[in-house]
Order: sequence, then C-alpha cells, then structure tokens
Amino acid sequence: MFEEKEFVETVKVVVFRLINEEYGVEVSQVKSIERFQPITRVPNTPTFVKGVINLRGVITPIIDLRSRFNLEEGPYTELTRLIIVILDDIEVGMIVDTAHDILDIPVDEIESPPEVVGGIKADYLRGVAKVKENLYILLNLNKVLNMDEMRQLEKIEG
Amino acid sequence: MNTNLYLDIFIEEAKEHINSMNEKMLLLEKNPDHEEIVQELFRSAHTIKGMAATMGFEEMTTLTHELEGVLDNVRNQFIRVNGKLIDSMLHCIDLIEHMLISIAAGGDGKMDITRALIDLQQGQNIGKTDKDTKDDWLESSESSGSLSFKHLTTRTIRVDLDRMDMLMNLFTELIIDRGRLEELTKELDDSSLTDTVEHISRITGDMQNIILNMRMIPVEHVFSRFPRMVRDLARELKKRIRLEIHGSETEMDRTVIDEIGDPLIHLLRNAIDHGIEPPEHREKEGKPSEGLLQLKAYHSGNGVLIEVKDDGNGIDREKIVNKAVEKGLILPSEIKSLTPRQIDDLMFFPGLSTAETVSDVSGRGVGLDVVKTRVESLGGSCTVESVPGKGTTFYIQLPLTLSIISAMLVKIESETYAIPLNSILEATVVPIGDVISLHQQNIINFRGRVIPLVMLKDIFQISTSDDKSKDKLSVVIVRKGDKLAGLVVDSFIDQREIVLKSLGNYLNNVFAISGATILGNGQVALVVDCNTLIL
Repeated sequence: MFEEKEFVETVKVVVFRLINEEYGVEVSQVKSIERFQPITRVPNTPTFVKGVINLRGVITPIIDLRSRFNLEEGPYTELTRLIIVILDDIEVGMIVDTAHDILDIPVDEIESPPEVVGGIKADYLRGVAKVKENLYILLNLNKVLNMDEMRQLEKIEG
Repeated sequence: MNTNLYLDIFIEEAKEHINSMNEKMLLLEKNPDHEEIVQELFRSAHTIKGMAATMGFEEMTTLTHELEGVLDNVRNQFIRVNGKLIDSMLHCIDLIEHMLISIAAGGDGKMDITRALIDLQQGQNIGKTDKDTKDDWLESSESSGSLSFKHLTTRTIRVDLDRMDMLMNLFTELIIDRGRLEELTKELDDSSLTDTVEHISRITGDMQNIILNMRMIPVEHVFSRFPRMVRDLARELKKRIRLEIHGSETEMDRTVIDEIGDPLIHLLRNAIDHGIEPPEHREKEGKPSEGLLQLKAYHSGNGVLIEVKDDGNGIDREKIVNKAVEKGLILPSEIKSLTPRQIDDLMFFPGLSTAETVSDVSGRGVGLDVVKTRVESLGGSCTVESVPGKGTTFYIQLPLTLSIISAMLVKIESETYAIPLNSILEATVVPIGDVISLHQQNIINFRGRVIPLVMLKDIFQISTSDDKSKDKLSVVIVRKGDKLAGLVVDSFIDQREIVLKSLGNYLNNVFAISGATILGNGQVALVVDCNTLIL
C-alpha cells in the first residue's frame, strides 16, 4: 500500500492554448491572469511587442505569444487572456488564446522536446509532458523573454 | 541570525551616524568645552559599535570601541580636546566610512586600523599629560552658552522606496476610479451619493498631497557632508574659509536629492580652489582674510533654487575669452560683441578650465560642463553671476520631483503622446506654404531662425487614416540647449501635470520615448524624449 502512495514531485503550471496546442508556464512565474484590454502601441519595437497596458498603476509591456513564435496571428476574442509573468526583474504580459486550467505535472513525465512542436523551436521549450492522454508543451521563459536574442533577431531582420 | 536581512538597515543607519559625527566633530573643534556635543558623538560611536558587533564586523567594532573610549575620557574631562585629537578622530570616522563603503559593495569591511589607533592614542596623550602644549589646545571661539545646540528627537520610520512606489501606483489608480465615480454620480443625480463622492474627492486630494510629501526629504541629507569637505579642502589649500549653510530644511524628492550631491561638490570645490583667494592676497585687497562660502536652498516657483556663492575674486573674463579662442569655441572677431553674461556662460563648455596650475582639486577642464549636463538631465538649469573682485554665484534650479512633470498632451491620428513642458519653447500653427523642403528635410522659418521639422507620424510609424491634405501644420517647438526643432503633430490637447513612469526593464531604450504616463481614463500615453529628436 505504502509503495503505491509514493511521493511524486510535481510542478504546478498554468495551462493555456495557442491555436490547437496546450501550453504551460510554471505558476511560480505567473503574477496574474488578466482579461484582454486596450493596448497602447509602442513605436520602434519588434512586431510581437504589442505595446503597454496600465496594470493597476504599473506600466506593463505586452507581447503576442503567437507573433513571438512566428505563428499565424489571430483575432482577440472574449476568451483572450493576458498572462502576466515575472522573470528576475522584468514583468511582461503574454497574449494567449485562452487560459483555463492549473495543473500538477509530475516531473518524471516531462520529456525533452522534439526539435519543433506546434511550430515552435525546441530552444524556447522546457519540455513536453503527457498527462492523461493530453500533451502539454512547457515554455522556457528565460528564452522566450530574452532581450539579447530579440536584439540579434532585429539585427538579422534589419 | 540571518544578518543579510539587516545589512541595508545597518548601512543606512551607520551612514547617518557617520554624517552626524563629522558634523558634530567640526562643532566640537569650534566649541571644545561643549558637553552636549561630546555626548552626541559618544552616542553615535556607541550605536555604530553596537550595530557593527551584531553584524560581525570586527575591525569596525574595535575602532568604534576605541573612539568611544576617547570620547568617554573627554566627556569625563580626563582629557581636553586638541587639534591633533580632532584630526585623529576625524581620521577614524573616515576609516569607518571606508569600511562601510566596502561592506555596502559586498566586501567584508576589513582594513588596517593600527595606524588610526596609534594616532588616537597620541592625540589623547597631548590632551592628558603635556600641560605646556597649550598652543595646540583649542580656544573656544564662542562662549559655549550662546550656542543653540539641541538634540532633536525625530519620530521616523524607514520605508523601502519600492513600497512607496507601490503605494503611489495604487493611489493613481484610485484617482482614476474617482474620476469615473464622479462622472457616474453626475448621471445619477442623487444628492446623498453626490455628498459622499465629494467627500471622497476631498479626502483623496489630501491623501495625494501627503503621499507626494512622503517622498520628500530635506536637502540636509546632501548638505551635511559639505562642512567636513570644505574644512579639509581649505586646510589642504592653505585657505581660510567659513561655510554658511542656509535652508537645509528645504525639501525635495529623494530621487533628486540623490543626484545633486556630485554637481554641488564640483561647484564648492571650484569656489574654494578658483574663487576664494589665499588669506594674504585677500588682506591686500582689503577683504577679511577668511573667505565666505554660502550655500543656500530655497523654494522658487515650482522648484527649488540652490545657490553656491563665494566672495572671492570673481570670474576672470579675459582668461576665459582667451581660452575659448584658443580652443576654437569662438572667433577672435566675436570677442567685441560678447556680453559679460555670454562670457560667463562659456565656462559651461567642455574643455574650459582657467586654473593656472592643475591642482588635485580642480582644473582638469572637466567640471562645469559636467555639472550643467547633470543638472539638465534632472530637468533643471544652471546659471552663473559674477562681479570682478567681489565674488561669484552659481544658481541651480531644480524641479521638486522627478516623478511628476508638466507636459503637453498632443494627438497624432488616434494616439496620444505627452511632451515634457521643460523642453517646449512654444506651440504654434504654421501654414503649409511656409514649409520649405531642403535636401529632403522640411524646414520652417521661426522668428528669424531656420529650424528643422520632425514628423512624429513618421518617427513613430503611425498609419495615416485618410490623406486629407491640410493647409496648416500644428508644430511644437522644442529645444535642447541652443538647438531647436519643430515636432509636427495633428492637434494639441492640453497641458497638465503627469506622473512619469518607466516602461519597465523589458522595454528599455525605446527610441525617442522616455517613459509613459496614465491618463485620466486609465489609458497609457507615451512620453516623448525630445533630446533624441534634436540633432
């Protein structure tokens, strides 16, 4: 009996959707989840930076996660959510199609990602987890929000 | 015990005690018999000792322990205060400060303290045994009774600046909601509701004043370290100088206070080195041998004015002109047409230092231009006035706070931008026919000056809705130093006080944007950085 109830290490993630895939970011990195609200455009920034919003008195930059991963951009709907994440000293809101769940994912179930999942390069991913037949793609925020990489990207494009 | 948690508090408090000890030590030098000053010094040394011991900084503990011992002896009149003793005690305080700087930078605060301890001992010996060395004893310059010296007990608490910012952010949100509430009340027209909302409006208004004032601290925080610096420098340069400080209770925003220390040190050093003459020279001129250096702070308009005034030799205009010609800043033919004022202003150009000998203090040609840039970056301005033979006064005008600025709101298509008022010279409307195109650059003739036009629509890549050609352009004339530019917008909205906020660490260095602000309707408007748009 005891062996069966063995302690399993898990990570709590916020589950959200982009096009047809389910993704996850660790709850510890999420500050809040907000409804979509009008965004003030900031000129001379990369296209995936949609601008800034007023989040209870704090100016918060907003990026479109679809655009960040070069996926097809879609219209914003009633279900669209802003996931506000905190990484070190930066605070950013990510536009996602919808955020609907919080899930415990056993660490054992996380596998290193294949080269490309859902059109996103493995560099941006922490891994892929299968829970009850569902596939969750876990993001590596360090890479997703990395400014140096952003600048390099600009250089190549520019 | 997790001492890291308390490290910041320790550093802050120790800094304050060091400042206070420096100050009191100079007072003691002038009033060697004043008991209360010694008492105060003793208390500070004791506090630092206790804190340093708790935090585990051994050298600092030993040093302050010895210092405390000496002060105890002075207090109990076992020894008398003398010049040597004051010097050695000041040296100890310096060492403690250096340790503190090392600790603040993440070091362990370990330093060689043997020399300081020996000095301290020697200073004590003079005061104790050798009754004949009366020369070195300090004579009380004023009778100690006339000195009003009180121990002020202040009831304060320390609050993290981040928490203050958080409070400020939440409060601005509250103000926005208040606006909405007021609008709704007007629609509903219910008298008891109207009363309540009016009451809320009044209370939040009072709260706003209090919250803004909480960030203000007296300029004393920077001024308090100057007496020590002036004393040391005057000794080094063999000059006699009396420093008078007025208005140190004037309050300014903490962020401004933190930034003005260096520019003021520059000006004071300048005055001591270049302004005030050596005592012999002064006597020949019929002036008192002791030079007078005045530092004043007072409210002026919507800001604070700081004056640094000396009664020295004034600005040597001929030397400045010669130097400016030599450096190619002006042409020899221009000299005749220069007013004294314009000559004085030349001092703020880079590379102009008129000291004949390059001393340790000033005269490397870096200085006044740095002062000017620093003050301007704080949204202030810097001017000088000088009378030959009588002295020089520098005026620094500073804003009360950096977080609230006056700005003009403008509209470009559907987007709203804020332009800081201190950059704006004028807002004007120009007929399209007056715009001249020159080398693909649109220019206009503005009061006899040719100034370039900057199309904000292009800079900010704002998509044009319909291309109806207008016959007039709305232009905001902005300046950076002597240079002007005209920013073309669609329309002017109005002028108001805005709370300047940063875009955060994710979006740093966005071209031509210096921050953002939240408008009355809760929307964000970007603040234009005019300096990057003027070339």
